[in-house]
Amino acid sequence: MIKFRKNILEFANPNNFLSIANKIIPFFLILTIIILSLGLVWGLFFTPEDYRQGSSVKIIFIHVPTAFLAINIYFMMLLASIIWLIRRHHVSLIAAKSAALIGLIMTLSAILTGAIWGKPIWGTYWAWDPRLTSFAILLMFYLGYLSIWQTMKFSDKIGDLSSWLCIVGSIFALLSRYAVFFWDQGLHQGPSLSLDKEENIDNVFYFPLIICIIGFVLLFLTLLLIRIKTEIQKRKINILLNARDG
Amino acid sequence: MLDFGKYTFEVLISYAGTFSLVSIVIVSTYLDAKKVKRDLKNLNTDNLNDK
Repeated sequence: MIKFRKNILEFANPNNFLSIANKIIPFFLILTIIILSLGLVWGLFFTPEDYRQGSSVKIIFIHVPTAFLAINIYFMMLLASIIWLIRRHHVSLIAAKSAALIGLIMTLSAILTGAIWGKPIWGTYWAWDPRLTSFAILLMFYLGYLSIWQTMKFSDKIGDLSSWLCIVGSIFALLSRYAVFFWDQGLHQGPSLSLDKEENIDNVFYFPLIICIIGFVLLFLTLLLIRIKTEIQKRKINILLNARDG
Repeated sequence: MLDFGKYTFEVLISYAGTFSLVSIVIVSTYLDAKKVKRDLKNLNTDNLNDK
């Protein structure tokens, strides 16, 4: 446990982070390309049509991973923001900032693919269903969080402000995640992946879906590592410029 | 060529839409990283020249 804590703290040092990131980014990149291609090709070309949804079931191979990431990236940002507020580790703040754009794109994609799937299956692109509504609000929080960083210069105060916004928005991330469990009035069905074998989707869809989720998570981690690395280097440039110009 | 039955258009537009959105992040991440790398290199060269 002490060793694990020491390793995590080493990651919080920007220089250590850069040296570790430089080593693992190429490995993550190759793994992402292989696993994502495998999952998407399997899901798109080698799965049968569903007896009720027809071929529209193939949309789940991108809708479920993007929705999964939309919520979990926000939780990751929440964790990083809390670490920033308590321990003042700049790498955690940079990690939250770097993840936000990826989270926004995943949320947009989940809403878009959900709407396209919803029209033929539910008969409508959009409904003010608890899960869909909480997703729309989550999208607003992502936009708000990114707007703070786009309009103001990097500083500890802005870091605090964005972290508090992230904490408030986490309520909607929680709602997006659990709305289907405790709100039984929406159009959205239960989770596609469940620990209960009876409720789970058929294995013919389950395995490619799991591979797609792993592929999208790897894509997120690869992009996140590159974005954090770039952000640390930007800070370095600012420090060097300030030192040079006095 | 790509025929997914009754919902071919919905399937293709979903995949194309997601790829376009993800491409925005990938391209912006790549360009940003490239620019920062170049700036850092220029700055280091300037510092060496100053010395």
